[in-house]
Amino acid sequence: MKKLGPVTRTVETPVLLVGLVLLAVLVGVGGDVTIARVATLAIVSVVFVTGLSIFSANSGVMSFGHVAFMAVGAYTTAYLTIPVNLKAALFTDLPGWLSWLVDVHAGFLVALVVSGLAAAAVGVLTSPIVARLSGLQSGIATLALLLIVYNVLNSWTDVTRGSSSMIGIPRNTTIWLAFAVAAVSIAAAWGYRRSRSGLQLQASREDYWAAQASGIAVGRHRALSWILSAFVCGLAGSLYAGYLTSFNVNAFFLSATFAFIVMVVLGGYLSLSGAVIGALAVSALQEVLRRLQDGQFTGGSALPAGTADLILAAVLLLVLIMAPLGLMGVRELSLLRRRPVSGERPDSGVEVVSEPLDRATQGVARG
Amino acid sequence: MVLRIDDAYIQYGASVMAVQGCSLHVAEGELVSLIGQNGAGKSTLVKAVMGQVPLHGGTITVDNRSVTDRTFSTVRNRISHVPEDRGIFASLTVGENLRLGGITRKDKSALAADLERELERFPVLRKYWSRGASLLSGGEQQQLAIARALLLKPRLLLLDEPTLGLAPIIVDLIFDVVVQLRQEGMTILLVEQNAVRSLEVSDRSYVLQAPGKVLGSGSAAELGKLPAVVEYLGFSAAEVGVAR
Amino acid sequence: MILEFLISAVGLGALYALLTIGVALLFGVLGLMNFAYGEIVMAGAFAMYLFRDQPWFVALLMAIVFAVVVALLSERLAFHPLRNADPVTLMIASFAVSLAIQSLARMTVLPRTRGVPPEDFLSHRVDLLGADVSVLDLLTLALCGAMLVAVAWMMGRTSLGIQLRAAAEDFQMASSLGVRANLVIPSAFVTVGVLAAIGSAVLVARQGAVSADMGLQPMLIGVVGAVLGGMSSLKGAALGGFLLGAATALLESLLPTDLIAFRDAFLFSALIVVLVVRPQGLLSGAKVRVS
Repeated sequence: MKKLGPVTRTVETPVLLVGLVLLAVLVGVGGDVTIARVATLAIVSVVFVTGLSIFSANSGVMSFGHVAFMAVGAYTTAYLTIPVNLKAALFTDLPGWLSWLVDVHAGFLVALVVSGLAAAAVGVLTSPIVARLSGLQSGIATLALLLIVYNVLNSWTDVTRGSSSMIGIPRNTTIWLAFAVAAVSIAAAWGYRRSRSGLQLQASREDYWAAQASGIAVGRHRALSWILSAFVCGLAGSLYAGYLTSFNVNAFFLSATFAFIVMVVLGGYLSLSGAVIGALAVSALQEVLRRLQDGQFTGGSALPAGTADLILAAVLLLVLIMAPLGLMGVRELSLLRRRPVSGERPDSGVEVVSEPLDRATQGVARG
Repeated sequence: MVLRIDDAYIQYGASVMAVQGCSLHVAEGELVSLIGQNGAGKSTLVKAVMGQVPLHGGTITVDNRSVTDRTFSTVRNRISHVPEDRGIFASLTVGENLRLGGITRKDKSALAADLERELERFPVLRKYWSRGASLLSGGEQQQLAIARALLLKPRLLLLDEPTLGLAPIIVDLIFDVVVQLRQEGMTILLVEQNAVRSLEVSDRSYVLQAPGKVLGSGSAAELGKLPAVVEYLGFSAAEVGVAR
Repeated sequence: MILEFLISAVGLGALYALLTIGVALLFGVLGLMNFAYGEIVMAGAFAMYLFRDQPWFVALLMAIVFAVVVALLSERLAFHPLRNADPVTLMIASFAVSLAIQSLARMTVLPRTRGVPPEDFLSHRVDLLGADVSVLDLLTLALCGAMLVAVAWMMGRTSLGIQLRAAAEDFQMASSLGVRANLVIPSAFVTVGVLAAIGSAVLVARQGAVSADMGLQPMLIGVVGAVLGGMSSLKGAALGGFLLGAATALLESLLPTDLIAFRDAFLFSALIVVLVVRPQGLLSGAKVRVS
């Protein structure tokens, strides 16, 4: 085990993470309809938090606005994949300059990529914001971004159907497709993490001004990671739309944001492994809580609506108080590297190993 | 002994050592200065006394009580700190700033007398009593900070770079006040980059070199006999004697 | 017409200023951008619903009690253990508190929106210097104005007020002078509770309904107003909130109808611009200590 080659060592974390996602796929494939649905949505969540973590794990800046990118991806997919004749019936009041939207159509894979690109375009537009702001200011600004996108989607009824649901999206997302996108996203996130830009951005996480002073263009790297992460979150939105076949604008607002925050904070928002593990764990927890609320564990008597949310909020608070950096802290998943004690199975466990660069990070980076 | 620092280690972050094994003490009624260049660890030591940075090794005691004790309170032990940035509340008036200085005192009539005395000492504060503190000049803010610190009736006064960036005439005024306080029997630890003036007025001085190591200590004359100190400071104590 | 508009704009400005102070006070003292603020407002509003058959002053008193209790509980259970956490962690925690209180309300007392019939006299209109003014607008102005005066007096004249302002500006220096965290922090939460309760009374009178998620709007108003005013001083924040309210009233009467729906988008775009271009706020000259 000690003789892992450099290549093995470079890819072991993403391989392990993809392996975890594969486990979720197997659970989904083996389970009933409900389990399959939970597993698929959990993997879509993995795609989303992987995207989010490309930005926040490397820059140390928390974003509350990424759900907006997911929304952009979902609406784009809806426009590109709803059959043209249905679209003509759904969008009768399109303003003239957007009337071409009725006629565009694309296969799902094209729609998937275009959704990512559309989200990335919004990312390009908004990148100057995150390039310049840190800490709480950035938190407020990203939240404002979410509110703007929500307000537009909710009010521009002629184009977005407003508070009515988007319907009639063909079901194209399979659990295996979601898995493939998750695997590619994890690989991309890991690649960025190990890239020059990613490493420089991580250096700025500890001390913004020191990094700036030593010639790192923090703003540029932040912008780059922001756009890349927008793209991945756009993919997540597309998968989401292609799986549920209909969605409402309220799916992309505060409660979704909150759920994703719980995932990344629980896992550890400075770590890609933390985000992925958090997404899978919280998805499972949410399903358990849903069943609890429906009364499946209490002999059929349903608990009042809100119970699941309350418990989720309590879990988040406990994590923030007990372990503000989450389960993983700044570490990444890695195989046991120590020489195993003789008699022990060599691959008896998975261990977390610090990266030297991150060792000094003890708190959330501040600007 | 009012203040005793024993073999203190303080680090910033994971690896930057700001103070490495520093020991010093201040006896009752003494005016002791801490001199050294920027980054020598002087302010860090003072902050450690105030409990504002954690101590990683060694002990700091005030009146034989450890400042790292959970029950230790700088306020109850009457340690007044005039920080390097003066710590003036800019959105409050001069009068409100002074009022905060005595916020913990129960002896209201004695407090009123003390306030009167400080307003005598710093007439400019009486003049600008109801003015916003942000409108004061740097020298006036420094006087406000010192006056406010004195209203706690401190057992130990920590002055961190009180003359930094001030006009020469104000620097004179501040040093005069420090000497005056010393004569009134106040125990003072003065942190200064202005080595000449500090050596002049102090009973004893500690010369600090990064990272927070004592290069030498003693009176101006004693320090003048230490070659390492003379070399570090760039002048001999004999010159200080001349200046005196 | 002008006077009528002025009274409604100034009234809205005063309401927004009130809401903004509640956000800015906790931010100053604790570094806490409190997203659970809206739920404190909701607690007050719920009391207005619960005691809707009592005389209005009883309802108002109970609103204050409810809001203060919720504010203090949130401090004790969530923010107290996080006293040394950084602002972003605190903000995430306040999200959790917000959701927790909302869920609790939904589970127990507010599973759906409840109507609170406004007092009859609120819908009357009176003649004031030749202008036809609604009693509701007048009452908004009077109640919020009186509350602002009371807060200004408390902050400016009392020892507690001076300590609160000092702690809001520089907590470490304040505590080294002997300002006690265990006094100012709970006091700040009590003040926030009272402010939120008055705000909730006005909101309930204007909206005529109470629901579990009604806190979102007042919370956002407080946050935007505080950022606009610059969060370094309460006065700046109050002014920021006031201008936000007045501007909202102006936008609503000037914007073409089909753009009014996008009011929030305009508002939050402006917020982002302010954050990027002038992070110390529009009205503050001071250095910012936001992050």
